[in-house]
Amino acid sequence: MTPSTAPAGKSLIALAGVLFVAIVGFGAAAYMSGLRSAPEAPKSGGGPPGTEEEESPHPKVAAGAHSIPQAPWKLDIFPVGGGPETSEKQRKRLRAQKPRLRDLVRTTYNDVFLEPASRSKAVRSLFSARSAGTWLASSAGLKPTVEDVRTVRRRASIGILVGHANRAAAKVVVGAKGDHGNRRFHVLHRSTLWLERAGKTWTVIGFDIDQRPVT
Amino acid sequence: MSRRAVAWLIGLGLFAGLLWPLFGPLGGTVASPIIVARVHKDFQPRNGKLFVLVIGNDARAGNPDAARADAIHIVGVNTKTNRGGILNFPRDSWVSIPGSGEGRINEALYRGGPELLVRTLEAITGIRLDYWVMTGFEGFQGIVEGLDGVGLRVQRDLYDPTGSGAQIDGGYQNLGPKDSLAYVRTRHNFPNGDIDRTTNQGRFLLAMLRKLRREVTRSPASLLRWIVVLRRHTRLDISPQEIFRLGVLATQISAGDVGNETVPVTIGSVGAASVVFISPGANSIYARFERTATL
Repeated sequence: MTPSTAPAGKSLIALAGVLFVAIVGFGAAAYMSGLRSAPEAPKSGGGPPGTEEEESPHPKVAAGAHSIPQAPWKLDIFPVGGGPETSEKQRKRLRAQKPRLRDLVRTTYNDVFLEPASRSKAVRSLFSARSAGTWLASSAGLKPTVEDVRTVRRRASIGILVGHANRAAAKVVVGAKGDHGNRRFHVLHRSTLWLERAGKTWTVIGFDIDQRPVT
Repeated sequence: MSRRAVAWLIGLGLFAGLLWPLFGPLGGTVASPIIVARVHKDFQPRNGKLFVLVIGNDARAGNPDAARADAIHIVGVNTKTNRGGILNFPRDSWVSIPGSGEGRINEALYRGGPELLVRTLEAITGIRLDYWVMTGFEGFQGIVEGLDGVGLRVQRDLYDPTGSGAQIDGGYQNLGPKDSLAYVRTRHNFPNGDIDRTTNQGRFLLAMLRKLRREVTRSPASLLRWIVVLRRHTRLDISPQEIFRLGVLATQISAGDVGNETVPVTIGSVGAASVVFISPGANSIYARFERTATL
């Protein structure tokens, strides 16, 4: 059996060699590409005690006709102003609001950065009228004409006021790359959202934005 | 496949790998404009101007309702320009108290509570006050403790063991509760006594604003902590929703854009009482403050 298998063994070795080369090539390419564009490692443990840290799976959000892997959301949601005297009722309220705030932040920034054509709708539905007007009048986020947008960092830190859990403050950082015409862009967006709740609905009543190109 | 061919392929692969970044994500970045947008339009009570009376009373534990106002400040904010001012009134200012004759301005609080002090100041200045907030000795120390101290530059060494109890070195200090209270009460170490003390109280408010902005820049949720501390240690006529919005507003104003002025006064006496009289020159300050909410 051994002699008859010798030729087949040689071709297998050759095939393995080719595969090895391909893997090395792609590996090197990916590594070098990653060096240029990898998002900063999110800081961990930065939140106050009680921080809830989550990481969503890498969503592939369509931007234009392509499906592009996006940076995972890193969301910290934590209570503020509580203490040992926080009652079970208050804790229950906080638990109920966490997913709503998480959704608001994700929806807002996913729309603003990955579906810029629909950012107006998202902002108008989640912001107070005046805040929405100011946001939309600014150039915050990306233009509808951008393509192949890839977020390289998505991080939010949200504090909720213990008590009625009806006030919150969020700090959001989004880094994004993409094409605009025949040019590449890379922007870093930092914003603070001030949020109020009425019933089950959270509304952004004010914000600060600092968005600039990464050089 | 010969060894040479394999070596070539490996070399080619590595070469392609090294070159990839040059053809991959490189290229010029689009120069997006720098955006710094701010929203404050939601909380504009009157044409973008807002006035808050800040009262520090001399209530120790045990007599919270029989207090006089030791610190009296009108804080103005112009939400259109994000500028403001603190107008300070010496507690011994001799004024007309509506419905209560004449007296030191600090007695208005004793005679009719914060509401009467508001009416008194409105009558003097012509400025409509939107809110008041008040604290006493304990409350003030509670606030400073809750905020882990307040940093400010002390103009000189302060030593007043028999008065305010101050024993504070000059220079930048992070003042704890006791030193903070001593700082805002000290007058013996300053050439203009009560007038300097009154101005220092305004400086302390500005130091708090600086601290708030620093902390909120790091973590916006700090504002929520400040609100909790403030509500725990003060009495005020501001709803929780308004406190939050006012807090947001405060975070958008730089301490450098807030003037700190004490009304001009002359020293005098009424009977045996040593008082100060507000100079007629204060009228132009009131008018400017009312018009712009800045100093």
